[in-house]
Amino acid sequence: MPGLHKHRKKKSTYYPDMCFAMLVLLTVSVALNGTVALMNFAVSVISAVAFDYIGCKIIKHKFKIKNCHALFIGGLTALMLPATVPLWVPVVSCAFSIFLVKTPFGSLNHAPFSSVAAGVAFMSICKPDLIFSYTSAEVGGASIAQSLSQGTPIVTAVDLINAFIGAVPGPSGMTCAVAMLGLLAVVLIRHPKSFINSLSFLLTCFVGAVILTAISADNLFSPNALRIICLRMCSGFTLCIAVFFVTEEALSPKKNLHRIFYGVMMGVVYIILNQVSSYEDAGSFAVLLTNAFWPAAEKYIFKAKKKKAEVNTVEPTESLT
Amino acid sequence: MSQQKASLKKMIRLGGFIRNPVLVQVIGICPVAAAATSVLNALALSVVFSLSLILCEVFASLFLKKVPRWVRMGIYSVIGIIVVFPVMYVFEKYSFATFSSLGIYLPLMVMSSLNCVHCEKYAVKHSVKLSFFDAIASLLGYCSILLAVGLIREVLGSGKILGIDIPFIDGLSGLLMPFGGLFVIGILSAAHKAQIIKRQPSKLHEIESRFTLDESDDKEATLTYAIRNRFKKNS
Amino acid sequence: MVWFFDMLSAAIYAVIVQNLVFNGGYGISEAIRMASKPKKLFSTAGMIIYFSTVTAVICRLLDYIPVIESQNQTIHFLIFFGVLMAVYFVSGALSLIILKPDKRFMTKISMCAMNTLVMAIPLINHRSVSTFWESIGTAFGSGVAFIVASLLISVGFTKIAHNKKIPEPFKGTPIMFIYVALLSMAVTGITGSGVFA
Repeated sequence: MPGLHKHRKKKSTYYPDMCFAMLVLLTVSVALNGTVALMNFAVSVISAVAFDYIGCKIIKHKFKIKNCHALFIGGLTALMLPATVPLWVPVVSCAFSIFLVKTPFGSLNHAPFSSVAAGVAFMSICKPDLIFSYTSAEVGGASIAQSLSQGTPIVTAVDLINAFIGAVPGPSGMTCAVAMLGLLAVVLIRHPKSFINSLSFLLTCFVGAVILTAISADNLFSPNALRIICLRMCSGFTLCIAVFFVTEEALSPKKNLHRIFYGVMMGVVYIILNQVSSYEDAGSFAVLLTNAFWPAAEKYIFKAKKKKAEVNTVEPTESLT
Repeated sequence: MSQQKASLKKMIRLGGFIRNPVLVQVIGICPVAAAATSVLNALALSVVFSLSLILCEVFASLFLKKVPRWVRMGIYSVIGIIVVFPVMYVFEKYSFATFSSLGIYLPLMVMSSLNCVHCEKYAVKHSVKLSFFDAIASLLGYCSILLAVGLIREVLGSGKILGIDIPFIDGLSGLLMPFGGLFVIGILSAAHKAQIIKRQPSKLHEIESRFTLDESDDKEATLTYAIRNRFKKNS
Repeated sequence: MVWFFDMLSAAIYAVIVQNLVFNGGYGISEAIRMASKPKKLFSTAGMIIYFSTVTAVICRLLDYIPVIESQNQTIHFLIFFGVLMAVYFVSGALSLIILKPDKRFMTKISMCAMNTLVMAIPLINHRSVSTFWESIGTAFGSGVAFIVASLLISVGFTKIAHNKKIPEPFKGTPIMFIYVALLSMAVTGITGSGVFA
């Protein structure tokens, strides 16, 4: 089977694709927030690459910029933070992602947790006031996610069009729903299997949004209720997780059924965390918690199949030895 | 005398550095990860630990050799409270700030596995002098890590050193939480292992952590053994 | 039914919202130890639940006595410690008489009773002014939190075992600490703070 062998050896294009996708978000972010967003992005990417280089030197691994993982970490970190955040915040976040998550587990594709989510989560714990302070004249600094979680009437003041084009307070690169939906299309075309993760995650979030809206609204089919459902789907890190985290190649399961469960699990965790967490948006924690619980869920839910496989492989070896 | 010195030196090297109680043996992690958030806290914990362990080991070596193990384990905690109770009382009366910052971790030190493991593994099998040396060696290893973790977390977590603000360092409060302590211990543990690999590669087998008190269960309880065993099963 | 929901909510809080092992660091070394021996996990957790629940119940009942309630924290701790010791020695003696177990069983009992997690429960209940049923819930939850923590760490063992790329200085204990720290950080995100300290 030489063809199959060749196909297996084909290098993954996931991280390069995602880095190109980030350029779209960066363009939107610069258009909305000005050059400060570009500055943050550049500092974050440069520091991530430098830290990755140092990390590789420490553990004596070959540094490969071509796999784009460092660029992915740096870029996504910057896009998940507010544009106005001090420059040292993305630098510390990238240092955490690389030195404490990526490097100890042996670099690319081996860390059991999402490096970017860990870095952002760490900074969210350390400096919540910096990570969740957004500036916008339109809605007085409160993001849609915060307004939704607190149930403030500010939600009614948000124009749906603004929410779609991203002219609302929020993480510098994650507010533009149109751009994110475009990136989802890219995921569908370039990585159709990963799209299963995104779809199951988004469907779960949609069901969650409907349930939460039904609890608070009198009539679920009223225009206002439908608006709130739309805003829930576009706010915070929902679309960001659907595009970048739930699809992350190194952490995603490989079988289709497992992918569906993985997406659903991340969606459920994200919805629950956003309701109970003290943070405005607990997206990064939801990713980490799913990463933490998924191996256990996989082990115990899909136990029977695994056991069978183990018996098949282990027994002959034992009898031979 | 020189023999005693050599013996103490060897014990400190092996028990305190090479097989460090925190970094290698994974003993008494709770106070290090949760309570050692500043040098002062770490110092207070170190003093209490030192008194408690020395007393326990000496007492165990002197009087508890014939007592059943499960009774001995209770007695270690009672000895622990004899040390911890006056300290708590003094802190609560005269240094309430330290008392509050240590929270419930100060009283929990009486339950430290460091006392139990060292008394059971060493003190009840050896003479008073050797038990005392063992306590000193373990304490040097344990307290040095306690102080190092306290120092790192105070500088990076609070942006202070011995309570004095350090200019240009904005504290990362996450490091003051238990997970921050675990990260610091993890990095120190890796640095420790790197040193062993570099300087004494022949001692690498010594740093396999052993957990249980039961000797027959020792091999099975080794972390490295467990991981290797799991790997064999999985492949 | 109010008592039941009080108990349940306290248990859920201790397991998920404020996982005592990950958020508080209580019994973390024992949880790591147990993760390397998952077969013995449930029996250990059962003993932890037993000791923490019985101790918590007695301590809570004692707290209803005005003379004890008015004491400061140090005296409270002394009383709680006395209760745990009494529970431990009585349970040990009873199991020796009734079960006639081997040495290893008795060692296990000791390791489970002489644990920071068990001793922390009455202190937490006292500090958070829990009701009687909440105290039981927290005590029961502590055991379940221990199981959850150990299982998650245990699964991490498998993942780490598969990973041949881990650099040599990180192999073994160091990577385990970092893995547990990441788990702990993920759980901390639920409330954003480490309470019970």
